[in-house]
Amino acid sequence: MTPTDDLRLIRWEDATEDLPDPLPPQTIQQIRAELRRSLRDVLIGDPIHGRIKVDRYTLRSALACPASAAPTEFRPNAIITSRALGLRALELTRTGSDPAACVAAAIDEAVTTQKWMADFLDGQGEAARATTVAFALSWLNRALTNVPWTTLGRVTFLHSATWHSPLGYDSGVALVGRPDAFLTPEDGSTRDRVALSLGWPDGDVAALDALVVALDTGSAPRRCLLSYAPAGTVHAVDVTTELLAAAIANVVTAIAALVPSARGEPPYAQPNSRCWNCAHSDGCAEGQAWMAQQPHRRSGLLIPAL
Amino acid sequence: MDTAPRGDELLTLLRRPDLERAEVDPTLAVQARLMLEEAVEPHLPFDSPLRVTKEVVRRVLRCETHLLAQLGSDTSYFPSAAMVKGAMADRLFTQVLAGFGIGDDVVAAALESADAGGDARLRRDWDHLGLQEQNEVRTGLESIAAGLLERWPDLPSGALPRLQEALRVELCGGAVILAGRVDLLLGRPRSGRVGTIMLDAKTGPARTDHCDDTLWYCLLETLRSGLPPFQIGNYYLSSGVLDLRPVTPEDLDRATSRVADALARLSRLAAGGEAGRSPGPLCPWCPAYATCVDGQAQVHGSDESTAAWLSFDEEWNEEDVFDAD
Repeated sequence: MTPTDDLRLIRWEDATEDLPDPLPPQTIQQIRAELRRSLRDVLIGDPIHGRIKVDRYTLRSALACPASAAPTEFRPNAIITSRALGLRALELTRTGSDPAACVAAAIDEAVTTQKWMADFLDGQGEAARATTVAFALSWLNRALTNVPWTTLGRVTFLHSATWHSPLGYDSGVALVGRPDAFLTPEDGSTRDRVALSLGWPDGDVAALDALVVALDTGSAPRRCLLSYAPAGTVHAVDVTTELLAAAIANVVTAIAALVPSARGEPPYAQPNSRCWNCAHSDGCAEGQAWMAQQPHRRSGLLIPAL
Repeated sequence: MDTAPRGDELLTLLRRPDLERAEVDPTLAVQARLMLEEAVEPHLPFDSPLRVTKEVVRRVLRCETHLLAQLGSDTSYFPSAAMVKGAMADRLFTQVLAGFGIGDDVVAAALESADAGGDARLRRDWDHLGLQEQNEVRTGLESIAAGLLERWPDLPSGALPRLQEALRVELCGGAVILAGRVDLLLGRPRSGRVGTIMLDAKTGPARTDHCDDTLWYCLLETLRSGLPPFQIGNYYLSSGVLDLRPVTPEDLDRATSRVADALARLSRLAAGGEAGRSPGPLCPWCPAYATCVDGQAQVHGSDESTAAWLSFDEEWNEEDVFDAD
């Protein structure tokens, strides 16, 4: 079973009901030791240069095809900034402020607190700023309409990703988890936390988030919720020892896939359906050859030659 | 005389405070889903998930062979000037809805908006147009921009505007994906009562297909939220005409039946069935026309010329006929 197999569609009424037992500290320690052991096995050999970072994007890529996980230039745009700005604005709305005003306040804050955001926002023309505001406001309003916030207990928004270096900072290996919020019962504690992400329901990503939070804080969330606005759905995966073990397996697989690049070797390609949307497909001979062999499909239909 | 709604009048037409927000039977959405899945199930399993958009529905109902031919046609083409104008007008509409002005150079504003939104394609498509086409697009956009700034007020915060709202519904465990993106979504349902307003922006003149588009969004919203929208419609950017109306149970029935018909055809194709042919006056524009005996026979045997048929209905051109909109 994979984390994606464990993902289940639920109703919001059941989001924080029937939670699994919290994982005891000893279990987290065992998970930590298992991860270190596994990573040391993978990293035996020549040293890596720079850093291997496993976040939700590199995880998905590396699990599908190592070559697709090669870094690409980070170019922020209004879609990328909409989450960060929308999330902060969402937090500000809890003071009763108007959504548009909260977006404006979030932008004013971001310019002074996040360099990459400041670089993107600084000097924007009116049209670019309008687009940035429109996307952030839409993200915020989607979150307001799709999630029943008042029924979910205490909400702690997470504006920064959680980083964890399982082999120490100098090892160059880092894991990054990024849930959007923690939900805690009014009379609960850290051990009762449920992690909430607003985005595509991906069990492997939820497992990574749970693993990183557990390793970084010593306490795993009891469940991960994924609210996906376009479908109006909410999925859940319970955080168990098995889930964290599966997360470790994913991380180890991903890092093993990324190690050759980190050693200056060419990454190997593992063509599959991901090739169609891969940022590196133009320069990938294996991917091009694979795509050329595939039956011509669009919208899922086989297209006959005219 | 410009009678297009503006300001408070426009807001009133969007909100319709005079109308009751109906309490809707929650089983309507369940029944709609069942009907759609029943259309698909006899043909399962598929080799690959079916991804269904409003264009796919439109084309398969027009002619199955036409659908496959259109899907298989060259995807490296550059859009027409009308399509570029439509994409740019959408950008300007977004700016105004966000409470901003447009500036003196409407083209620069639209391209700057696209760049900020991570859409490199619009600038490429604009650069590909000829000078005369660019001038025509610019003139059209200037008129649209002036109209938007004059007519659209700031939206109240309670409207919860969502721009370019993606809609996605999975049927049969993911074997079929219904997908769409509506330009503007306002409001939300409350306590089992309808409340959402769905509005799509159009640059060209009104077409009968536009009604089908709104019903498509209506169906997707019903399936994903469990309740139909309160109002659905189109906003015509060039004229400022707002064609918006409350959703009725008959609308949902019609939308569901239409899409179920389309899904039955698509599912049969996905399962390896042979594509049928439904010749009509639009055959000469189909990518398969050169090899379609039925289409050619229909055109040559028809008492009514295609041009006459087209001019009878309204002023269409090729881009309008097969515009992905």
